[in-house]
Amino acid sequence: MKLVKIFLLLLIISTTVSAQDNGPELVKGVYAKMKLVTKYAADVHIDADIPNLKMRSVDAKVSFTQPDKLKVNSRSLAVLPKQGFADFGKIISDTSDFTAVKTGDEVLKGVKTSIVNILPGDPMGDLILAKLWIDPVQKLVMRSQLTYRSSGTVLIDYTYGSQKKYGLPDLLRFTMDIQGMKIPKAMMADLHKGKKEGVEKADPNRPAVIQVSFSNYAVN
Amino acid sequence: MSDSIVEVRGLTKAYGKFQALHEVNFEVHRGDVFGFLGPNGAGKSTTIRILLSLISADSGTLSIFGMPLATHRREILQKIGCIVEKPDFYKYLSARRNLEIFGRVSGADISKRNVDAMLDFVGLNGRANDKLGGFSHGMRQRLGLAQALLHEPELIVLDEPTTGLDPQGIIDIRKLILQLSREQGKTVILSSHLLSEIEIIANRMVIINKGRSLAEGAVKELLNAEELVVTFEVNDGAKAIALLQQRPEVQVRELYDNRLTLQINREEVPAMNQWLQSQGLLIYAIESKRKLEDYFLKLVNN
Amino acid sequence: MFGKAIYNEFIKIATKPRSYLGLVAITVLVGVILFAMKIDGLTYIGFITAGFEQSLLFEGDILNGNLMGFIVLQMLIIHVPLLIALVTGDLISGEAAMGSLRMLATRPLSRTQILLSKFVAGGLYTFLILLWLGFMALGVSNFMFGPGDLLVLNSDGLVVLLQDDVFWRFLSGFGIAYLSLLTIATLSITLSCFSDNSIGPIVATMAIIMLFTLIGSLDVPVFDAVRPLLFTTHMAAWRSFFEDPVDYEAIRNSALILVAHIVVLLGIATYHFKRKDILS
Repeated sequence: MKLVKIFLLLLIISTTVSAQDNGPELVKGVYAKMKLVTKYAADVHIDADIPNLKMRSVDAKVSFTQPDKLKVNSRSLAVLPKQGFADFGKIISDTSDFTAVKTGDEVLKGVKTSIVNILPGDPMGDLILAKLWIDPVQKLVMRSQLTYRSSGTVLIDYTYGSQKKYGLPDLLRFTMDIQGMKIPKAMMADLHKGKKEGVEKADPNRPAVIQVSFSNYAVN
Repeated sequence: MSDSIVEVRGLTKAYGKFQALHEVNFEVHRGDVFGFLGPNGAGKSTTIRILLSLISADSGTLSIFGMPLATHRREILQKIGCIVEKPDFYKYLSARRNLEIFGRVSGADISKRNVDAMLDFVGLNGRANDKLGGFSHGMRQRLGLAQALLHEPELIVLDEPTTGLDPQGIIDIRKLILQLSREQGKTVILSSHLLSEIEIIANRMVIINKGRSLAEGAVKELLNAEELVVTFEVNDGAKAIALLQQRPEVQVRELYDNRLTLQINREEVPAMNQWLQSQGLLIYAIESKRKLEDYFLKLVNN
Repeated sequence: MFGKAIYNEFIKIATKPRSYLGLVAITVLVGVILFAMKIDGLTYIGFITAGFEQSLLFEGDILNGNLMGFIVLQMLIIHVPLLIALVTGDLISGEAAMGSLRMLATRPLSRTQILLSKFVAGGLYTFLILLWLGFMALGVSNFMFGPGDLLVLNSDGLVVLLQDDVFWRFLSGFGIAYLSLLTIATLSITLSCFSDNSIGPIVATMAIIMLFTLIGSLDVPVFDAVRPLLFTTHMAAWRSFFEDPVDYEAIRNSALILVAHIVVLLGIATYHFKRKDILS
């Protein structure tokens, strides 16, 4: 009996140790895939639903060069998230610069993912915490949640298609909380005081959502 | 058939409590140079402004060219050229431009040639392109005449046209009016506070004072040279008055400071002079005026 | 003859030195604004987008000709009424003061024709002023800054209007802005009928605009019934074309109110001018 208990304890410890050890490996696996792409270009379709900002969907061209040079060419004004888009690769590039710990598993869109928390090495940096949902088989990030000191939390959902092998998504969905943003009152024009009653307005406290669809990738 | 171009009956106009016109009546015949005579403030300008529909009458009838002004304003004004008080133009425009502007809405087809001809007629062709800001009063008056005549009206209304002009200017205006009447058969209504002006130019006239018409008719008849107002300067005015009580047929107008004024006929003046002397009076001076002239001067001085 | 009268009135406006004050003023003012924006426009834009820049990146040229055009219109449209009133307020009273009204009124033109010819000429002048403003605001701006999407700050937030979707909005906005300026012109012409001096109607027009603007901005219940009827409340209706979606009902309502003002004011002017004794 005593032997059985010791065996079980060792099993638990080894599983836990294994779990802790998987964190950096999982991240490395993702980055290795990303490194296959030195540069890419693609057509993007950007749909933004942002409180206090009304805009139509925009078509643009993006080009990206490692490690974080993103260029957007658009005839129209495009709004993109400041963080979590161009800088993602940089976050996970230097494994010595952060601590990655696997904290569990979750099934996302029918895929079993490993949840990895990344703590940046620089405690004074803007990024406070990165949480990644990684498909350990495909070595793809299915979801990320990045928390910044300056701008709060950005939740990014990834959908992959033809460029899965490069870790390049077909669809990125950014959700961020931009509460507390105020329009400068002095700049406002008060049109139609006493606007129509009963007109349903979108909840101004809702999170901002930006969806970026990629197509026509040209990789490397 | 009436040859009246203008018929005014019972014209009345009040400005608040002030009665400017009280049942003014007169008639202007075709071809007349009609004098509209009265002292300042008599109501001449008010009447002329009503004639030209600048102001509206409170009551009365006004017919021009046989048509009521109230209902035929446009047809009537097409045939009238006028200067009301001084002619005021657009100072920032040239003489030519001003004439073109007024000519364009005169109801007639005015060409550039017509404008040039009219400027030549009034002696302003050398200054046609100059802005009015630099024009003298006489030049503006001439330009005023030009705009009044440009569309060849049948009736010309001139309100004090010689005011402010030099003697040569006055003579020029007179000549022009007579030419318009005698050579071109135009009818002219000429308002003035100067009897001498009316006497020289007009053939018919109306005298107006304090908003009422006092006398109307042919100038020659109204200014009857035969009926005079004669002033005898004597040595003893009281004695003269006492003596004249013996002659009730003699109309005594006034005695002032030994100046005895009588209304008598021209032929009676020598006889009256002799009679007064025969009564022991000394005669120092004799002055005579025509009756209406005297009457009008009293109006002006009052 | 009515057409000739309108032509005359337009010649008078075109040859009066005062008429060019408005054009010169607009040129100088727009020049100053565009110069300032060329030098320091990004700081100005930063103030508008500051609320979003913590989390969002605006890709593209915000500081473009369309935005400059909008800013110029926004800043100048409140000053243009004075430039209009300077000319239209003088149309009747200026002639009365000069004495030429007396000469004009003895022409075979009805009083209504005289008044309407001045109204039409004044309306044409107003249109030209607005056209010049539009050219300076949009034409010169696009030349200096290039085209681009328009970022508009409305009371419910920022709206991004695609550049291909902007020109018709400017055209329509100008249309409604013209109605509001025509209302000003009509007001000044109406006041001009009641005066024999040049300055009175101009000052009175500006005073009325200031009074109505004040009533419109005082958020007190006692003015609630009156506020929607004031023409000044609807002078900013042109901005409604830069909302998404456009509130056509509100714009139509504003247009109707402005047209009603024009009709009523013109009616008052006609009634008075027809009966007025011209004593000047």
